[in-house]
Amino acid sequence: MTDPILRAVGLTRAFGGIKAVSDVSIAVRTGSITGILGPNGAGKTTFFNLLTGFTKTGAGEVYLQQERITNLPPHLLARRGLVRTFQLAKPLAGLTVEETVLLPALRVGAGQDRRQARERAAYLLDRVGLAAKAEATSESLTYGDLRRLEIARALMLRPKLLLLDEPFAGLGAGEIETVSQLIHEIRDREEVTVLIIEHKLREFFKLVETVIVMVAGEVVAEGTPAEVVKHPKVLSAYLGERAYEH
Amino acid sequence: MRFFNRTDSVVSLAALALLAAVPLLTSDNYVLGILITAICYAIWAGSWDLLSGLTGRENFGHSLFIGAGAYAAAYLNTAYGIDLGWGIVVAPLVSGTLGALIGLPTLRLQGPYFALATLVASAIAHTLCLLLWRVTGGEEGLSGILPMAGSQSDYYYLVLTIGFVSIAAMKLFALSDAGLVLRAIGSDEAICRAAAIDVDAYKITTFAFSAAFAGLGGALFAGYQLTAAPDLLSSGLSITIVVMAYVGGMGTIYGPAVAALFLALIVEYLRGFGEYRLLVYGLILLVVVRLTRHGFVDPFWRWLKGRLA
Repeated sequence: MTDPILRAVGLTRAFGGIKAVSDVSIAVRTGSITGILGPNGAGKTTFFNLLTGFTKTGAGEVYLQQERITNLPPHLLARRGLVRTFQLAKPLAGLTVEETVLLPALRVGAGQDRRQARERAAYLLDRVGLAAKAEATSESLTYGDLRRLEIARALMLRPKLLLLDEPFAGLGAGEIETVSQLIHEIRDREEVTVLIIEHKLREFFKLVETVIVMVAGEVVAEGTPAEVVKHPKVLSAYLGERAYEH
Repeated sequence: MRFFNRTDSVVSLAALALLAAVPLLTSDNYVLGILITAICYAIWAGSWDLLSGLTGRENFGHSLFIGAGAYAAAYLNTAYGIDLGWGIVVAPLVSGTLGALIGLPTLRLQGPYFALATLVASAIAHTLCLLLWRVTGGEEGLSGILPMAGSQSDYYYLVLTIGFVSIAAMKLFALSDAGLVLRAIGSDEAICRAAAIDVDAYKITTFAFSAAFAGLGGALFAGYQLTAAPDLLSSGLSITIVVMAYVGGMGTIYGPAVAALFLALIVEYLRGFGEYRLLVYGLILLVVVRLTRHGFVDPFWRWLKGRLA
């Protein structure tokens, strides 16, 4: 078996005495689509923020392909191939759709040939179905478009590991299907490992291969979607209340 | 469509030619003096816009860098007899360094810290300038700078050239990839960090550039007045520049510069109103800021271009 692409060991972070993330250890298999499931307030986004350097850790370590990356700033992690999206997709005011995707290639020292970068951006926009809107301002997009735009921008960085924070949030059923397919394609064609946080159970379980369940800042279960749903701790802590909604 | 289009280039060169023709039409030193002052304001407002307009991180102490440049040039000249020309070279370095030093701790923070820090830093500099009167000349300032040019019109051409090149350089910077990244930073810093951009380095470097141009304008102004006065460090000047940028249209560089040029001229011509001058000026600003969301100059120019096309 290949080494995990990402390992978190004993990751902990407290805010004002409340442990948002408590002693979380996970390993993400290279090439997998892995999900993190948990009710609101389970610490999933905080966990993402700890992995991606947006929040400083209280304790614990993070390794990307065996290399210790704990508390490195987000922009350096992104350059190493650890790339994230956000729970709330937002437009970049005044930038066109194409410029938004190009953004990672525009920084000083990005070392990317302009023509190649534009070709890559055009290719990605086509892949996410936004080629026709390349010249539009990003503010004119629908929420579903913004979600896919965000994924295109993330892919511009050629990530090794893509962390998606609730990629289905705010999307309709059709759009969820599109994004699901896109995530599958990304993994297969771009050889990207994908780690996803989600709420929407049905689509999520169809998409992911491994699920890590977090409740109140701790990992309570891990396994395939089929295994996880039967786990007693998951049933009581998470599905017990959520099952009625789905 | 990222760089100057033809209309913009032609019109800006025509404006330059018009300003360059003024000394041929009048030898009135008063008129040239007003224009020199107005061009300095244009550099100050344009340079303010470079960081604050593009990223939205508002600098309320731009006068610190203007004053630092003016005093650096004045001090070198009056204390060591170093030619004003060198002062104009050194001033941006002094102000740029100050900008980097102030930006380094404050631009990393979210929230109002940067605005407060710049406001407070300029207030401290103003007070220090008055306290350290043995060096700075206190209320009187540092006077007795040896003029650099033989005539007012020679100096006017120097200021006009440096002013035009500075504003054009800043505009090109704003239109470059760096300018695009800065606008993205202004919109959402977290997205930019996730896009592998060193947001802090961008902001701090740009702030240093912004401060350097302010210092350049400060030195030019001191070279015209032949004095560096503490007024140049005052918060009043900083606020005036912020207002000019709003009127011009933030983030467009040329907008604030053109607005500054006009507002500086209007203030002069309102002298006829005597005591009511600032009241009238204030009313004009109030109307412009109330009626327009993106200032006056930039939307007006876009509208005009639309009509011409």
